[in-house]
Amino acid sequence: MQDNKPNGMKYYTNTKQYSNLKGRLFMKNIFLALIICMFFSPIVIMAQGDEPKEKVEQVTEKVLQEQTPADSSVKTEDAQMKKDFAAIRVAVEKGTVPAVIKVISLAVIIAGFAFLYLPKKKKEVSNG
Amino acid sequence: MDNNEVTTEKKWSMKDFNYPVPEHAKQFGYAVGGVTFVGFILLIITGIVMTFFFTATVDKAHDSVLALSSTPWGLWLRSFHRWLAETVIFLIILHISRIIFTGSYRGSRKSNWFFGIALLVIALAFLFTGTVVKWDQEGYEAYRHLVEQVQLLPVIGAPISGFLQATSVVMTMFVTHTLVLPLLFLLFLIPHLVLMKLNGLSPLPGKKVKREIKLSTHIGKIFGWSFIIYGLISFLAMQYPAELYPGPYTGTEMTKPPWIFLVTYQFENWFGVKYLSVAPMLMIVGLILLPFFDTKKEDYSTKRKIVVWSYLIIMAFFIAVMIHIAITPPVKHL
Repeated sequence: MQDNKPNGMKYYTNTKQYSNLKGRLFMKNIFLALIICMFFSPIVIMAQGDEPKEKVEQVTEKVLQEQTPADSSVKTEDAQMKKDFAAIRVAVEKGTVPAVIKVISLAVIIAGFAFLYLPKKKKEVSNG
Repeated sequence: MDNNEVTTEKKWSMKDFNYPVPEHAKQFGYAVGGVTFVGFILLIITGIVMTFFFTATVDKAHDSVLALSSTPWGLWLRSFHRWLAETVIFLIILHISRIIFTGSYRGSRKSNWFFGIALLVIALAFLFTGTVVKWDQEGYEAYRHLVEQVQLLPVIGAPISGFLQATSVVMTMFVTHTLVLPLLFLLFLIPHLVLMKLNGLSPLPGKKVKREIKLSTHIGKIFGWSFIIYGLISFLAMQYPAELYPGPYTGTEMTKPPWIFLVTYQFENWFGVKYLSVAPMLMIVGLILLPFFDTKKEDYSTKRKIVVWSYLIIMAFFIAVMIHIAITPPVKHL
């Protein structure tokens, strides 16, 4: 008797198995296409980028020194902020609280290791 | 009482909650979801404490954060909350990686995978709004980028952007951070946990469950890892306090976003502000579609080469971009 099944289907006993395989292959191809799209999307988008690269300017020391009022204020305030923070840190380090916090943190870490690696006590079964 | 009466009433005791789970529940890969959950609880606790010291107005927000940071406990609290948030995001990525490597997003676990992705998006929104509420230069620049992005949305873009600009930005972000997002988080977390209980712990690839342990042992491991990781974060928070930039100024850009958003920052460098969200969008869409494309029955990562290698290559690309951005100076976009 002549086998009328299409080529790809000849190893499968029924059409359900064959269509399942086709479906899986189809899904696999779409997934591959998606991954490829993800990788090539930057190149595709690059051609349509809304901002020419020249307009993007790095904030360097020189730019900050160009004295637009806002930039100048930011620089001053940033310097002041860093100074304030340094002062806070010095004040904080002088106290006992940071040492207490660090000791507690270390104790918590040790407790964690104990939770993980100390063997558990076996329960004794009592019949009375 | 009639002696023939059959009672079906079950008397519950605490022992019923200590049900057996597969032995591999002891491994870090299968405990990382629980460790992340503990991280969220700590974030809620530290967040609530900080709320008492925070003033959610544009004029006072930055000053109140600075005042909090001027005391040792306050400095530790804010730094711990910040580093903890970034650690939790990192743990979520580890959790997702384990699920992808073991193919635990297929079959009956598909719907739980979607709830997990929703939780990832909410966690990122938490980190973003948390960055804005402190209302320093970093927060302001993040907010400006949000407005630019929202304006690009079709139909809903204009009204949302109008709402953002018409309301008090710090209060809007604060309410989102402390009320809207926690409610949404709870909405997706409950089914995530219920489905996890119903489906059981995902299997160890290629191995049948031979031995079982009690749930309490699994929880003990989760606490063990949590104590180590969060204890270390607490120590480092005191050693390296989280940065606070000066009060916001317009007309300049001098900060970079938290590490998880560095890929979006690079896309903005390459293509402009319009394409800021391309990378995360593609990643989220890819994660959503994954269970529809990977329908193989094998659990072994070596037999699911396309998925595993694609994921590894994408992650390597993201890590390379993050390192590049971390070592280059900030760029002005807006």
